[in-house]
Amino acid sequence: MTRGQRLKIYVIILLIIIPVFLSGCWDSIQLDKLSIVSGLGWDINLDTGDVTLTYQSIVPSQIKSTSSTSGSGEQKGGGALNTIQLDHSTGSSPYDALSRYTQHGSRIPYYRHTQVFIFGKDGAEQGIYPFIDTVARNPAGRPNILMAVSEKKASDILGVQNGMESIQAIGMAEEIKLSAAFSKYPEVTFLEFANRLMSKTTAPIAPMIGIFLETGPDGKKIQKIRITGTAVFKGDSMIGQLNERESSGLLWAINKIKKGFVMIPEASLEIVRAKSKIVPELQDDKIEITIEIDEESNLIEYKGRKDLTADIVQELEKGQAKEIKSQVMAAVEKSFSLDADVFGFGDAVHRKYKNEWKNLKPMWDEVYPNIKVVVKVKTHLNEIGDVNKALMKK
Amino acid sequence: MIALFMIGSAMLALWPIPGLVRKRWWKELICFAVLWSMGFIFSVMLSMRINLPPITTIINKYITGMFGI
Amino acid sequence: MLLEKGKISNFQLSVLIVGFVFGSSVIIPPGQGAGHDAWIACALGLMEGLLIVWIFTALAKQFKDKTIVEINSLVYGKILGKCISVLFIWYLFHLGALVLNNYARFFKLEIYPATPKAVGLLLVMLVCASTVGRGIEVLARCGLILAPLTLLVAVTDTLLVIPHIDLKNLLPILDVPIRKLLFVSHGTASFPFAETVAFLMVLAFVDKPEKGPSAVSRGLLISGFIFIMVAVRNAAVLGQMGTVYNYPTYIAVQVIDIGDIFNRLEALVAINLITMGFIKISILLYGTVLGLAQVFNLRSYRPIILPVGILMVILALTNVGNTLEMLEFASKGYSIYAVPFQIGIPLITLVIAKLRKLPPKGEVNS
Repeated sequence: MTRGQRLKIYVIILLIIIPVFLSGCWDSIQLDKLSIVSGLGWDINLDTGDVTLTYQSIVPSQIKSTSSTSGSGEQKGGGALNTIQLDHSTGSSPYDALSRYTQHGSRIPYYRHTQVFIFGKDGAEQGIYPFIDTVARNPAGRPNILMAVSEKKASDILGVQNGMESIQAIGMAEEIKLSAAFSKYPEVTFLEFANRLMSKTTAPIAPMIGIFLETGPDGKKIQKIRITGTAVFKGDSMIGQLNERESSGLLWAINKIKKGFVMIPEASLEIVRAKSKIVPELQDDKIEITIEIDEESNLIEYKGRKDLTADIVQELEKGQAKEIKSQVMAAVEKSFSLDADVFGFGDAVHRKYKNEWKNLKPMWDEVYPNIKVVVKVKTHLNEIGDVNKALMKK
Repeated sequence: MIALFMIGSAMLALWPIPGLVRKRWWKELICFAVLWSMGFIFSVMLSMRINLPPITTIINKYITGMFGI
Repeated sequence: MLLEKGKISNFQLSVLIVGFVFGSSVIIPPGQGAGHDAWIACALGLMEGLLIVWIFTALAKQFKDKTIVEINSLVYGKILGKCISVLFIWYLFHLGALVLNNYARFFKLEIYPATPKAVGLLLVMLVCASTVGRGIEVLARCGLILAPLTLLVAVTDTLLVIPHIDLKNLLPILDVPIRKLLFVSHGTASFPFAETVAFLMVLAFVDKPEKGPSAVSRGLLISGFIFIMVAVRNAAVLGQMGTVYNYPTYIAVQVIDIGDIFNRLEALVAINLITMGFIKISILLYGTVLGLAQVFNLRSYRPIILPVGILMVILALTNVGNTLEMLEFASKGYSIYAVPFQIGIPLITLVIAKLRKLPPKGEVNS
């Protein structure tokens, strides 16, 4: 056999052997042996301290059948319910509950596509640290997963079907992201939550989700989920919440305003761009924080029935500034009353006053409610829309 | 498991040994034999789950002990 | 040099250095322990690394065409020289086992949890052994393709992660006590920058030896800047969690999610590890077998490649009891353990060589 022929034989042998290794003998994962968990819910039974985990898993075969009917545009009925499957398992700790999936499923749970973690209100008030630790430690826990708190129990939220999306958890995640894009409620990923947890002074936050009854097009009452507030944590336990106005104020202060609307008595304006900065000042142990907000907006609704002049535009700008300022102050007041630094004032002071921070940090709980907060808002009205005169005068 | 190791090591030895013997490279053969037997012994010990001393840990203990970090 | 007939160009040398330094630092970025000041530790470590490089490249330039083993024999005499060479070879061997260890732990944790570590290591070792068996030229040519790919991926990842970067996470600067920062930057110098002392076995085969030192420094500077950029990016993206994660780069890349198309890019980081780890392990294996062959005056290093490779795998498997001991060694013991090999041997050899006026002028380079 010549050398060339021998080489060819070796190459062929290699080509046959290599694909065997590529799929991974020990680690080969077959799709039909997996249950892809799209949402995970966490509840604590107050009496026994047991943790109940709710898995929302995707049934891949059902998704195809519903997408073929999506063209009809009506509320999906029973078909969509089959795309997901809810399972519960209970145990004394998060991983104990996770490990009991064999009790209710025929497949191994696969967490790499999880969209959202939901915590029941009772569970959140007890403290969610064991869960956070599991997610951070487990390689399947991605930093992008959204966190949310449910008003009552997480298992209820995960059972509500969503109208538009065939997979409920994806719909919920998109709803959270949409509300964050429109600057109503914050969107908190696991990484952001964990970072706030690690900073010993900043309070973690998460959007709150509740269930509402609505009448569907066919007259029957159906459940829908809606984002209703922002949960505020101290450490890993929930201590309170911010309502819609306060949540907006919080977003203004921490520079998370993207699109959205500002409503003032005479007009409604659409936010084009907004930037905010938190500037701390430390003088003789007294902390003063200035929140500087810069905002640009367009006019989309004017109820004044007058022709628009430069003076009116200025008035609108002043009105906007007042409204934004009051939203932020509402958030500040609420956070003072909860004694939870949701804005990250502590971190801002730490960044600027490195040496004094060592003394301030242990006393932050007492220092925080006494901080003087000054809000400076600069607004600018860009466009007034297609018309500049009133359609109907007073 | 041990049988697998033995077969694998034998195959490993079979590869260069005929060539070395043919070329009469005795020094290289000795080197190869020494290293091969070391590998053989250690891998057999590993597969029988005898705990070989963790070298890096020992070095670490000495160094942190000496410098007290 | 009958053992190695190949020659590599200076550009290939620079590329090999970049690949080598990247080695296992793809997933374990240097500067850990300094928190969000890791980039300062990287910069300081880079400077110290450049100093160390200057020392041993001066040694290589003094003795053109000779590897460290031959230099030792010349400078210290046959017997003492061989003993010191054996120590140096042990360092290369142990380092190879450490790299394999890092490799195996990462793969076992993130990618193949059920596969036994030995399997992955043996497969990598087979590839490295076959590459080393063909000489340094082949390795340099492989590096020429793989290293720029890794650089491209590193830069692209950083660009893609820009929407998630919050530079405020880097403040306040110098938050870490100075003593710890200096210790961590010395640690960064010993892993990975000064590990290029392994190239003392390779520098003999450069075709233009006078340009050797600048090529090495160039490679070091490029990789050093990339590390600083990676340290800044990781701290900016991960915030304080960056200090908690074992593999920050892997997690930082997981946050990329652009338009639902560019996501799950962390697989690219794993591929980077495979390629760069391959280069690093190959060079360490090459240094070890070539050194052993020169110490024992063998006619060729080809027969001993596989046994040494298997021994390296075995050492990698039994090296440490668990990951925690590995982390402790990496953060505490290694920076001191490596000093005699990275600085001590080259420096003392250089000084003695200069004192003894070696090599004699007019010596024919064999």
